[in-house]
Amino acid sequence: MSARRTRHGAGVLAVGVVLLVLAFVVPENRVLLLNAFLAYGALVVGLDLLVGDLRMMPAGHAAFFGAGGYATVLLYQKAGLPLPVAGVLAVLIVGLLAALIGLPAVGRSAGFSFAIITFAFGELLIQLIANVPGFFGGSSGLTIDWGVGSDMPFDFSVYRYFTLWLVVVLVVVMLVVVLVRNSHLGLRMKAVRADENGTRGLGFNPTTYKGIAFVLASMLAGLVGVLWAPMNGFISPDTLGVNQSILLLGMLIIGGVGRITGALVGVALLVTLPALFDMDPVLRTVLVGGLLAVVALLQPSGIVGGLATLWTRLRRPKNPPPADGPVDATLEPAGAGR
Amino acid sequence: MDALVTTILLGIMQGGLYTLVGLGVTLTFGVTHILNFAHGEFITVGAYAFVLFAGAVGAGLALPLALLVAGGIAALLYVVGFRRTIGNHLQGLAFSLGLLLFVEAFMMRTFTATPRSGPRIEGTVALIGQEQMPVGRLIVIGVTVVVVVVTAFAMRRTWIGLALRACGDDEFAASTVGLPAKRVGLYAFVVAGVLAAVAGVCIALVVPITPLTGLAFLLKGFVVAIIGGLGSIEGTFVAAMMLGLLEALGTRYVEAGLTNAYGFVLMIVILLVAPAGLFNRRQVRAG
Repeated sequence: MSARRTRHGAGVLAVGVVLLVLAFVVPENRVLLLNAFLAYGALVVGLDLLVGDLRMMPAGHAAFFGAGGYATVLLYQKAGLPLPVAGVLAVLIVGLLAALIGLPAVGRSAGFSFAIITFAFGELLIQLIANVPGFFGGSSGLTIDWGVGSDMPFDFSVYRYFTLWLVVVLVVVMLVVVLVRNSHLGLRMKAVRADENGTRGLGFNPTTYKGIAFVLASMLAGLVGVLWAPMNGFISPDTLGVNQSILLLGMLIIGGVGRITGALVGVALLVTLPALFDMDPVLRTVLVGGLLAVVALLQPSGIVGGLATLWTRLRRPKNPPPADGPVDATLEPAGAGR
Repeated sequence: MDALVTTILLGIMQGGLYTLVGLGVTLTFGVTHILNFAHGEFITVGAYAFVLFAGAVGAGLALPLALLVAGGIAALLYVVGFRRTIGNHLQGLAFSLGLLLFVEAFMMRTFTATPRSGPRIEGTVALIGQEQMPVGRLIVIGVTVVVVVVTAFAMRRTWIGLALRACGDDEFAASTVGLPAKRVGLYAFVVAGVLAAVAGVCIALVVPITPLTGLAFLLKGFVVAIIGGLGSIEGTFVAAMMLGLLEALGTRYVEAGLTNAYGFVLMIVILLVAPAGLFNRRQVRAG
């Protein structure tokens, strides 16, 4: 257990170092693309804590991302707090919101009311923002003038400066996921996934673990929002709608649930590639939706999961030697004549 | 309390539309235990098919064509996709969410977000006092009442209705008398698709439609299906009327901006107090 934790942690740090190098060498016109990869990557890896580890399907994950962004901007603009303080407070607010929204829903076993309530929460948040334009900026969104001047460290542009922070966020999210998966909490989550009533019989309340995972995943999503909103300089209700949430689920499920590599492959395939080829965002949404439906039907473990199965099948010898008992030479019927 | 009668009639109209949507959600869930997030897209497809066909061949012929298109798509999706996901909640959810995204973005790309209007029905009817009610809305009320009554009758008297109810009541017992859930699920999806298309046509008659119309009504469909108790037809009807009237009265007399919040709050409260919904006799929780 501990060896695996070390191995996975080292893997995460290696990925972090690679991304950090990328943050320095990526050409200026690709910085935003890298930022998008990092932000979506962090969102999807955090989402996997619910989908992969607990088989919960939140249909409103992007709402918490947006809530984090909005909370930061509002605390910064209306309350005049410095950006780091506003960010920390925003993450706490998102955690509180998640607890309020999630606790009535996570206890239900089949997960339908959880999906519906998270779905409704996203829609409700959009309604709220659109109907209180004075405070939330309405449906046209909020612009953020966050006053960080041009004197960035290493002579970086503003966007590249945020790349560093997003790398940190992605690494933190991946570390949290790795640590949770290789801890007692992770074991209990695994037990809840396997058999909820059985877990209850062992004296662990499944609702507790689902609640913890939901609040944790939502706070991670909020953390991404905290950095994304100032980086982008603009936040609008579009970023927290149901479509965004399903896009996130789509990337995760198409890439492969239960693995960090799966989440990152999904993001690379569905965010980075379309952006490299200047694909129309609506067309990309069509693509993600269609792929999600097809993958959910044909290969529920996703691309990476499918490849992993293929790999183990290829590595396994064709005719495994019998584990015990005398080995007879009559594996083929006599006289098969080949 | 000015315009009380108009407000109540509008509430009944909304309630009728919610009934049509909620019935589809509840029927498909009752038989297949699939919560279909793509159900709202049947509304959008029905509405757009109606508007497009009405422009081409006239409203009279467009109605059956729209129902046919939506019912056909529902049947196709069930046979190709949903049938395989029975028994796996997460797979069904993922599949329907993917469909929702696909259809919505596809419609957005094809028809753009510009609202489109169906054929208009002109004129108003004078109610008591100075109140006026557009004829189109009265027609929608009439249509929904007729469809709900016919559906309720069909659920009790026709073999499809009996099959749907049998499967919803006890899947195993139904399968022993030759009604496997996988086949009855097809009927449920077709009926749900047609009911959603009726709702779509009605919506197109009274307000301009966009590719996002279905999503808004899907949320309400979920709310009423859950409040009524998933699988219960009477419950869906009562909950839909409650929600429609609550929204209409709340919008008129309390605060118009909060229209969508009323139903949501109602749903949370009901889920907390009675997780099985109001009318669910069996211990099937909305889960």
